[in-house]
Amino acid sequence: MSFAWHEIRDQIMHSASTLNFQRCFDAIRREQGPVVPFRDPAALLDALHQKVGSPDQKNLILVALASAAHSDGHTGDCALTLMLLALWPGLDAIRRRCIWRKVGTSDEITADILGRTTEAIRGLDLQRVNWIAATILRNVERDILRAHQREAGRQSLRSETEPDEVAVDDGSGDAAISEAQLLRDLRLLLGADAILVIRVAVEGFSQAEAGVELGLSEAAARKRYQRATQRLRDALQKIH
Amino acid sequence: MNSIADLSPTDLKRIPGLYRRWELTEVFEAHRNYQIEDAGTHADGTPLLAIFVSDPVPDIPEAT
Repeated sequence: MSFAWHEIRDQIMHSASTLNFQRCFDAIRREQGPVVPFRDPAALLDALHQKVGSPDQKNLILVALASAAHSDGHTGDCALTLMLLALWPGLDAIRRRCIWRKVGTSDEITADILGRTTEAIRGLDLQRVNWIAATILRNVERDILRAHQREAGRQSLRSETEPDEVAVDDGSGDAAISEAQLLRDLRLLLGADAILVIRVAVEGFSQAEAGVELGLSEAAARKRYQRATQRLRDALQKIH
Repeated sequence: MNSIADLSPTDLKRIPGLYRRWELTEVFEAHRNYQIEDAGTHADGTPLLAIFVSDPVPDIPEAT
């Protein structure tokens, strides 16, 4: 079944305009201080979507909604719906960028964005996150692109290797085993930098992110990545 | 006329805007159910109302 992006928003808006939703919204208002000034969902969304207004105040509202979204039942669903509507302009921009990057079909991207955003809202650690909207949107887009790059990396590895050229068939189609083999082979050539190359070139992390994991500064990670890829190019030239 | 017990809150949809009490007659249509909610007061102190409306319901003839 295929749903147009704007139809999904219309459906969510419709569900947010019922009396039942208003009752749940009133329950959130009783519990969450920053939401109290807003009598209905429309007033709240207007305040969040206005270009004017304090970013700190908007963030406090989003913290309150995210906190309510962690609860069970209708109130949690109501808060989740409000969060989706609040983040919709950002989600819309992510969707456009994903379509432009050809990450998947329109339906796949829509499902991926909504699924990951829901997961991100429900699983948000409010003790660690400061800027709610920016964190959720950045994480959702990063995770979609990473997943796409991982899949594209696997596809290209598969398509470049003819089955007859594989010396030993270990019978594994398991991606984890393939990655372990790749890491082992790269270690022979690149030593400790093998993991850096896999994180960046295969898994789609930035050099800075991979550097943090390996305890390197961004500049050091960049230099070591350049050196490692140069060694790979040299090795490939020797083969050819 | 239906009592409130007959109405499901999910069936009632908000009519955009806030209304003064004397404006209700301009809004109401036949064969629909309405729920009127308090929505605070205007700057001039007039109470404001939010209106939720159902889809049209079939006219049920009253028993004689």
